[in-house]
Amino acid sequence: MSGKDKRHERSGHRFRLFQIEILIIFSALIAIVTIFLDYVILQRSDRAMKETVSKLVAADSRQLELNINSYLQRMETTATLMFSDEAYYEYDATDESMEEYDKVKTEELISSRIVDIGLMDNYADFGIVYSDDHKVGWISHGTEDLFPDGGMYDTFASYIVNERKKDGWGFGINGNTDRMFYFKRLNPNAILVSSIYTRELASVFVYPEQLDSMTVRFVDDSGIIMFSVNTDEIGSSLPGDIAAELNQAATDATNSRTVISSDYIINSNVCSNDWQVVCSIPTRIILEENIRLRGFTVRVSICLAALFVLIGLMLIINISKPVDGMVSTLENRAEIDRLSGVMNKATFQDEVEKILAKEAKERISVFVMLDMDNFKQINDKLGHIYGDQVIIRVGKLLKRMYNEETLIGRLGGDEFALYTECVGVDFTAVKDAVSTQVEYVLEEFLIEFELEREQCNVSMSAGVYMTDDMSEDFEALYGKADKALYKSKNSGKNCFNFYREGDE
Amino acid sequence: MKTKIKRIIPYVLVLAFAICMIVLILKLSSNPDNADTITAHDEQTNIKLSWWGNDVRHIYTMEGVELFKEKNTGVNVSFRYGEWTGYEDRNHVWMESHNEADVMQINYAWIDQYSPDGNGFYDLNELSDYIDLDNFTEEELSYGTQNGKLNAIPIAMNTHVFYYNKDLLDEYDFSVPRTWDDLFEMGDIVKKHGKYVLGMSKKQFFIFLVAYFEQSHDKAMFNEDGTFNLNEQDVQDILVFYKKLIDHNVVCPIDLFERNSYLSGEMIGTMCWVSDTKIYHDTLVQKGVNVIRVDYPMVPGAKRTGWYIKPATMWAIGADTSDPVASAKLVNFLLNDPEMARLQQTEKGVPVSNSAVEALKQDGLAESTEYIAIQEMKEHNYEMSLIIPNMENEKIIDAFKSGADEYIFDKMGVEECASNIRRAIASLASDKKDN
Repeated sequence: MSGKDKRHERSGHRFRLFQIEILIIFSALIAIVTIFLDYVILQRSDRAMKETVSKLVAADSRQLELNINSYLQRMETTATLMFSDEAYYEYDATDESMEEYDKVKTEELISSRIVDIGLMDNYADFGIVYSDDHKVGWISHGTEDLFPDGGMYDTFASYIVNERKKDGWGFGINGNTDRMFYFKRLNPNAILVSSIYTRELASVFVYPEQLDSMTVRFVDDSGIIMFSVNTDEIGSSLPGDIAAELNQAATDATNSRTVISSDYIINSNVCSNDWQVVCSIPTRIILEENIRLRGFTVRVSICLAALFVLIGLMLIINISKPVDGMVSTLENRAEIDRLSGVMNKATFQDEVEKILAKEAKERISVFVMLDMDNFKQINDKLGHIYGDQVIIRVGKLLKRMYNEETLIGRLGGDEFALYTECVGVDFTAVKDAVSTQVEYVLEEFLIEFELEREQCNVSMSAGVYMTDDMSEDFEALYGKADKALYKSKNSGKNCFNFYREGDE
Repeated sequence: MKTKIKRIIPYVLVLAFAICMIVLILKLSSNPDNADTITAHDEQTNIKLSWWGNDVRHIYTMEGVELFKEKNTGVNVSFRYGEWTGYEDRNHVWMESHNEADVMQINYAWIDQYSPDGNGFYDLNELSDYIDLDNFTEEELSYGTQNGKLNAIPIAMNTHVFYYNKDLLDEYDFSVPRTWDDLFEMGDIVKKHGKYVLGMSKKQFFIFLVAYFEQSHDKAMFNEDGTFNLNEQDVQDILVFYKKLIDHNVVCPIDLFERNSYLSGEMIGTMCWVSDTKIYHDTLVQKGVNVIRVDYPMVPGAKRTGWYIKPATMWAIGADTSDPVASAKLVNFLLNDPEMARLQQTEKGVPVSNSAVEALKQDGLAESTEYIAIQEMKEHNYEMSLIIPNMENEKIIDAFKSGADEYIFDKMGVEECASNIRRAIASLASDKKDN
């Protein structure tokens, strides 16, 4: 392979590497930009989704608060119906001055009233407890069993905390989580007790199915869960993480709180009796779709980048072929003499200088100048176009005669030069070989241009300079060979001479 | 040709890759959960279920309903429930206002009361494709049959039972009472200690009096058709006996009786339905008390036992139900489903349904107090008739109790009081049949 071809190959390889580098960088850039944009968009989407869900949760929570308030209000209102007649609320079963018969008849009256007003609701208890724990109305066995040693009245009385309305709500009494109680004081020795099964609240805590992953809880003022869509939680405390986040968002300004954290979206609404509706939904469930999308967009970005690389590679392969050819042509045009097909003077000089610049222990440089004799007559007689054809044929002749180790250049007009070097060979032997070779060139020239010789008397003259002085540069070699050529021209042409010291 | 193919191959590859990419993106972007934006909702039918009872019954019934809904998707069941006290009034309002539930737990007496001609409830024979009636004997089905129409199916058979605090019997050195006189002897002793021999609710007390009267007078209080069979003298006798029971502390005054006072030992024994065994027997046993079941008190040589048996509670379907089939499926589940039977156990007494009994036998039914009680009753070979529904009629019992109070509290003479009571009960008993 010639040095020129190697150069071509090296430059082509570099070019392709450069193209691939650009392609990879660009693909990576596309992937990064796409992922970044997706990330930004999805972050915004996350935020928007959280806010939307938060509003939905808040709306549901508010609706549930209204529902439970309505339910609580109905229980309170029903209880107040016991104040429609003083016979109901003024009766004191502990009054020892009252005749037994009157007590029995009054209690029958009160029982009848209780049945009437409590008729249509699913009360677990609806009755009156007196300070001696005597009961009128329906107090269930389940409630009675909470007080095996008595103390029912005193316990219930302790739950009446609203001084103005003289009422109160209770849950978890003596460990019972089946019921929630409402207490209303009728007189100093009588408390109206109504209770419902907490399971009943399932009919109150109905919310749209769109938020089916939302957990709805109803908690008392000490944070104990009275109702939860997860029934196993009833009776236990509000989960610690939810309680902690709610406490952080605690404010006195409003009875509604919303928390949007990385773990939960929580909304709590305080009901009319200070119990709370707490709706929570894990953030990861809300963002499940976005998390899926995030993975999807990363995959798509990578696929896009891969597609880009593939298409790029295809383009490189398809484009680089003509480009390589074009570059190669341009290089040739710059380095090769267009007429003769050998190196132009500048290239020839560069190549010779590169060889001379190489360090070598021992080297014999051979510089041959060739010049056609009477070439002007060809132009004059046969025309310039023919003259150009002759130059072309000389180039081809030289290229045919010399291998790749010999540099061939056209220095101008009909002047050519040859350069080669020999390493490790005796100077005389080289000289003999060069003589033979140059002589052969001159003979071949005559054979090639026999016709032109007959018409225009053309021939070839040569000047040879050989040296083992490694300090001599191109100009020195060129000058001395040229002098030897000059000597041949003056010696009758169609001959060659070696340069000798003193030749001028 | 080869060159042309070579040149085309890269483009084909790129095109194929691009198609794969598009398919991949479309596949990844599609949401498998929402393949169709139109969501089909199953058609739901809503039926109502009503019952009365205690906490235990409420809880297992609601659990049963959830189980039923799991097994019968598309049927939604809402419910009404409450304690017995006041429930009869609630039911009366629902029935009379045509607002009754689709499926109802009813009392045996309500068949006569609300369906004298058999049309007050749905004829379950028409729903036999959905209710497995083979689990019941002809006799059992006859309890719920009115005028040839199967108005209700018994859940369990029930009768009264006496439970005594054995520790208290021993404390006072009492032997097990067999006769009414035994009870009076015991009453005179415990009265000195501020206790009573027995405590019971208003309805049980009434049955208690019926038993004594029928044993001592060899005469039924109510005729087969429900009419009142007593004259004024008969009522006077009952009133006198009633007052004697109170005065001798044999029975705690009705208005003072509370279950807790029995559980705390203020009375030695109680009379209750077998189906209430858990709350009167088991609760006391759980407190570490020895409890024994004692035979009915009898008048020596009595020709009538005066004690009755009845279907404990029954399931019926409203005559105006909006969905007879769904209601029938629910009734069948409540009566015959083995899982429901295991939830219910013997809370309502020993079940009548064969499939329910079979399910419970695997869970040791034979060891339950209720089962043993029923078996022993059978072994004693009491001549126990099916209860006359008016014996449980709340209004008749209230009329008796309210009237009797006038005599008990010395507000009225026994003759006048008896006359008033007889007139009131006779009227109420006749009214039932006139409805």
